[in-house]
Amino acid sequence: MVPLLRVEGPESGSVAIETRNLSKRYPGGVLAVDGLSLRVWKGEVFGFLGPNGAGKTTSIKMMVGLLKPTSGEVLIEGERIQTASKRVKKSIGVCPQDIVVWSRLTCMENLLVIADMYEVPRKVAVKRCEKLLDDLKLTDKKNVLTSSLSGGMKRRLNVAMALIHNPEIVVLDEPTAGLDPQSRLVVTEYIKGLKETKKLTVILTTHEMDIADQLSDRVAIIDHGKLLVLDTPENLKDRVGRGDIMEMALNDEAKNESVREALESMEGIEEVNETRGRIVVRALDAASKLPEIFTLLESMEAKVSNVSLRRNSLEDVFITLTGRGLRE
Amino acid sequence: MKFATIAVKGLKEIVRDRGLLAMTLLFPVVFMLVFGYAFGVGGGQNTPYVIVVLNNDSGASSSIMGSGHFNFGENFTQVLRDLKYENSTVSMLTLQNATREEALKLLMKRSIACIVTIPNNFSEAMEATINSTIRTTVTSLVGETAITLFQQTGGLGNATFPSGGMNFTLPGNETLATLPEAENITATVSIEGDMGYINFGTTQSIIRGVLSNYIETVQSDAKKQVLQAVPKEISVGEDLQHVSVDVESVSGTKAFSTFDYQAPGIIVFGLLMGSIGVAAALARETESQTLSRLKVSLMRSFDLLFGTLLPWTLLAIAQLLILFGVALAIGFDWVGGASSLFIAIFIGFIAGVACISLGLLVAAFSRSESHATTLGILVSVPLSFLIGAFFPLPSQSEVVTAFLPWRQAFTALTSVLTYGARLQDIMPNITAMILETAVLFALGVIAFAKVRLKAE
Repeated sequence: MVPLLRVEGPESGSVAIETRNLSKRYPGGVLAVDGLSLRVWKGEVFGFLGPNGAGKTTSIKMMVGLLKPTSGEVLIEGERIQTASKRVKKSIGVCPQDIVVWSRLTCMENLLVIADMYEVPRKVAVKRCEKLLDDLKLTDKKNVLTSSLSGGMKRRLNVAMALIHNPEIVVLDEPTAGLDPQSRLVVTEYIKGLKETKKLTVILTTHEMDIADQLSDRVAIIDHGKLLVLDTPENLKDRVGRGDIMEMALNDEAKNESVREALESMEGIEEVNETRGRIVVRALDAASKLPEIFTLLESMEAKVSNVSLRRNSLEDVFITLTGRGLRE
Repeated sequence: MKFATIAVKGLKEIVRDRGLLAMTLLFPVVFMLVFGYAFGVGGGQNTPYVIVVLNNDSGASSSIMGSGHFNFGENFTQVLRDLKYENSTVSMLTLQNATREEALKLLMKRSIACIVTIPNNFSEAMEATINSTIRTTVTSLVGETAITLFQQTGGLGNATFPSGGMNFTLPGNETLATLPEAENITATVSIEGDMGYINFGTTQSIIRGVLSNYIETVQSDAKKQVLQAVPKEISVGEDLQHVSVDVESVSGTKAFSTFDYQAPGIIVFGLLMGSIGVAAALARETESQTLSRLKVSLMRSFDLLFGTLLPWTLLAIAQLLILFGVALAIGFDWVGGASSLFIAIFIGFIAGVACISLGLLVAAFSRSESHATTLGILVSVPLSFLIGAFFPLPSQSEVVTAFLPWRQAFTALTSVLTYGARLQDIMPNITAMILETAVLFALGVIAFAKVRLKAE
């Protein structure tokens, strides 16, 4: 495991959300968030990454005022969230991790209830509902009870409910979790649209690295409630090591340790790790190293059962930082 | 108006949640049917109620009951003694001899249903009633001016109203003279008993009705005698039929069945079942996190709580009407008129708010919908028994349950629907119920807002 990096990231624009030394200890004594300090700029998509139980959702809940911090504070556009004005409260839209809809109301009714709660005039609300349902491919389900929708449709409605009042800041907690490829595509394209056309500030928590990589302007990785790194996806990948990633599985896992040590001593190899029983090799030009690597393996009588070659990803960043995979 | 949106949302959810609706509405209906057929069908019990009558009446000179001294108190006591069940030879009341001290002890032990105390000026008050009736009847027939004229000129002779009776014989003798003066005397017959005791409720209703009927009968007799005495030629077009007295049947002289006492109790039980629905609905909001969604919006605690209150109150009133209708259909003996139904709806409204408050309290301490349902049942079912909704309670327990609005609601509903009590008769219950409900609602709102609506 490499020493943890603390990066503040590029300073640009005005602050939408700021957390100052934010901590949360639950009654059972679990420290879910430990001194989290970060700033989210207006108009950026801010990726919040970490494995399950890392403290992402707890952080998000404190940011939107659902949870009281044990210490520290959250500022939304300079105002403390606990005492935030109506304008500030109205500027935030929250899409929770779980599907949070009223199952005995129709899609339209769900959206209109939330619109009323944010004091959106009825005529405006109806137009927005129709537009959102259209954008998220739910128009034909407009008057259908949400209890009869599929999981993907419910999750899309979940996203729509966060946006019905035209917030300036949108918090999307795992918006693509459990989605089928079609719904996943609809949601990711919609989030892209929020960034590109509406210039909204989006806080996106996910443990899907490709989504975060694809959508985020900056990414914060947290684990055990602590902020590990915060930077743009490109900078993060560069920081932990440029190059390609080769992953291989040996027939005999007992040889993993000796193979790892042998590979580490090879010239041109940047880093070797063992994750989930697989050997992960990072090298600047891994493809050209393949013959040399296989010769070495043959000399050690280590037979390869599976091998893959890919570009460096945010998951590799996480593995480098913590020495384990995101889903471990 | 965010509360209106919450209310409409709640109403839609209630109507669309068939299971919850069935549980809330039909479960008490099933109870009503079971109790109705178990305790109602087949008629009531013709068992005499034991009471003590303390007649302190010293009597009076009567103008109508024959010359000399007459004791109306004794006469009324005899009327009570002779009272029979409708279409039956069984006496309704058994009068036990006892001193006041003994009677109070018997009352505490519920050995007697009530103590009826006839005041010492009862006869004087009855005499005043008769004189007033005579005066009113005569003046309505010939007019006060004519009487004065006749008295001044002696135009019809010199007849008098003897103080000892109504020897008012005009025809032939053409005598008319001094009308009796109606003195301003009032007397109050007191009926003492335990408001929470079914037998008291029944007997006080019967005795009140008998007394009212007794007074009307005495007045009717006085009118008849006057009308027989006054010649038709001096009447101003009045027909005897127009001044006839309509004597109504005395409420409560029908035999009561156990179901007649239980029906109001089952209505309160039905309302209490509503608290489970409220608790489950609010706990569902918590469990499904829709409450969190509402919490981050501009919604205030008032919007949620008032918005929840409205649909469930409507449901409570609907439930009261359904249960009342079912009770009537299976033989509940409804004594009150249409006004009693409006009073009952008002009582149901307050009791409904009390049940919603209970639901708020239960929801505040429930982690999930199923937890709220279980906790709600654990609270509301024993409460139903505790307030005597199904079976009468021992008198000691009523000291405690008097602080529960549902107990007051039960007593008030029974008084109104079963005994035909008027609004003023149950005002103490309604006042207590409103105060107790206000306290409970405040507790429910504070607990729910503190536990569920604040940031965790």
